[in-house]
Amino acid sequence: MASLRTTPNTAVKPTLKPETVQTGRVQSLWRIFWPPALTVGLIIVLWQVIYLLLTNGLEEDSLAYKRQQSILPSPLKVITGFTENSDIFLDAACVTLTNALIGFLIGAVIGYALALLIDQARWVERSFYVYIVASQMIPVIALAPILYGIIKDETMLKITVSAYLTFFPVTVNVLKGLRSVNTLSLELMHTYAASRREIYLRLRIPASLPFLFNALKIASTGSLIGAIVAELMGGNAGLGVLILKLQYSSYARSDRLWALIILAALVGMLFFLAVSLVERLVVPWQPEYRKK
Amino acid sequence: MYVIIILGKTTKIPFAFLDNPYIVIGRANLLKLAKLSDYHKPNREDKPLPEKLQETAVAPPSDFVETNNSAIQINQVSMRYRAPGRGETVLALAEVSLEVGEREFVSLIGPSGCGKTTLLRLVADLLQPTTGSITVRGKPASMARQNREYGFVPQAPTLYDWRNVLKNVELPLEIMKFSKAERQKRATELLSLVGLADFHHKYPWQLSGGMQQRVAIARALSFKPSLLLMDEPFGALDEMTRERLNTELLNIWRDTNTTVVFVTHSIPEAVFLSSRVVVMSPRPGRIAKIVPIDLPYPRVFETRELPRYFELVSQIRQNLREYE
Repeated sequence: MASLRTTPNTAVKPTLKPETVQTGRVQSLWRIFWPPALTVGLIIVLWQVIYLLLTNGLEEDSLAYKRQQSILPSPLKVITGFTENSDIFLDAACVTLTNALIGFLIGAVIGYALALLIDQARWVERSFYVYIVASQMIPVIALAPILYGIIKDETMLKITVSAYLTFFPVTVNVLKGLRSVNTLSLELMHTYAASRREIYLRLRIPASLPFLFNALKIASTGSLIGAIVAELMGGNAGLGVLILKLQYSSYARSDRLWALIILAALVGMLFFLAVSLVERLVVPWQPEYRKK
Repeated sequence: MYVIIILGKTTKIPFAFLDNPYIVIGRANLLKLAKLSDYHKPNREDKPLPEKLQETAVAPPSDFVETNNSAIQINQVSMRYRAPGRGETVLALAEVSLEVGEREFVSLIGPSGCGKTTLLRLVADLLQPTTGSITVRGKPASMARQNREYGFVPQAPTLYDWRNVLKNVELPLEIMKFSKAERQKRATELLSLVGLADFHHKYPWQLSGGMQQRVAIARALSFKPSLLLMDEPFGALDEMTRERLNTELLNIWRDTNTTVVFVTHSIPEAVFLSSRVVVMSPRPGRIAKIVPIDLPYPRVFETRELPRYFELVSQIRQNLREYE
């Protein structure tokens, strides 16, 4: 299996040579994707090698073998663990992602509004900023059960926790963004006798957008973790619920748990990529996207 | 903005900042609404911009020397800064007085620390003088700023990265609530005037430094201000680009009937451009000498070869040295 997995990488590699004729698009896509594909392949090979070393000489169904299975399942088993349960897994991922996304959007709006509010005056900042920072010192693990006692609704809890983890990076970054405008730009606005509202609309808010997206990228993974943690408090659907179930019911069957956790990581990456894509569309003027 | 005036009898209302200083409203118990914003936009529609630039600068309107109206009056202005960190204060300008006539092109020149930029920023109402007063077209500087009397070209082009060239020129017009059609018309005209007709949809970072500065000039002119305040606009450009933009600036000056106050530390630039050069000296900033530039118009490439040009350049150079 291991050798099967690696053959595509080594076999296709020669096509990278310049003399190979390929259409530009395919070639550029290939250029982007071969390094991660290669590392994924290498990790799986390494994983399989370690697995073979660990199970070497162990009889199947022996206690030692079972114990080993709970430490490191074979990558093949993890894949079958996923394909056999893909319906349940994907449903759970969908539930978690939807809730995290709603919480993420609410948190982003609240976070941005708070940043705008704090930017209005120093005294507002002095009075409220400390609470905003303090709010993040409470571990979500401790907060979730308390919130559950108050909210008593599984979905609402998830959304609340996701929003709670999103608003903080948004507020901190956007505040910095609103204040990032340079003196010359601001003076220019004064020479037009621009109102406060105009200055926000045409200068401060556009200038804050790159900072907003930076925060959203951080918050995209945070909100997902928030939703999963909230699900661990108990509930009926979602990745967190499944993780809990599998943890209690799968001694010597850690392959499914591994599959689930890899799925959770993939969902997180997907979320992150989606935010990056939106960033590219909304704030294309940033230096890293510039084309001369 | 509306001012509600309730009148009982014949009333004289001194609005020093309006075009007509007195509004006289007859005997009537009326609730009058005077739309102030109408007065905020003097000469806005009456001057169409020239269609196209000619290759060389030609003479300014013949009446420009004769006008007695002053565009800017600076009376005994002193400016004292609090030095950052310490308690002591620094005198940046000491009792400076200067009068700039309508349609004049005045350059402020001097070494760093002579207060030339400070003086320009005082006129622009970006700073307030410690003592003395500044009047711009008959109004206090702050009122002139509120009335959008001047266009400002800062040291760096200061274009907004998220706006393309056209949108950058439209920025002041958006703030001043011009219609979309009018905005596009004005911006297109001005971009042709500064020779960037084909660059509407480029972004600032796709332009060279000289092009960016031209966009900044077009932006400053977009709302047809009667006054153009320029703070070392070409300081960061190479000599060739600078000379070309100097000629273009003279064309724009002639075509748009604006008064220009131009801060620079290049003597040749000041001589080539100006009708008067104000030589300033440092510690504290004072006006050392005012040199009228009697070079003929049109000022073209060959103007820089004239003996009189060299005389003026060396005279100003000496003045600068004397007062250092």
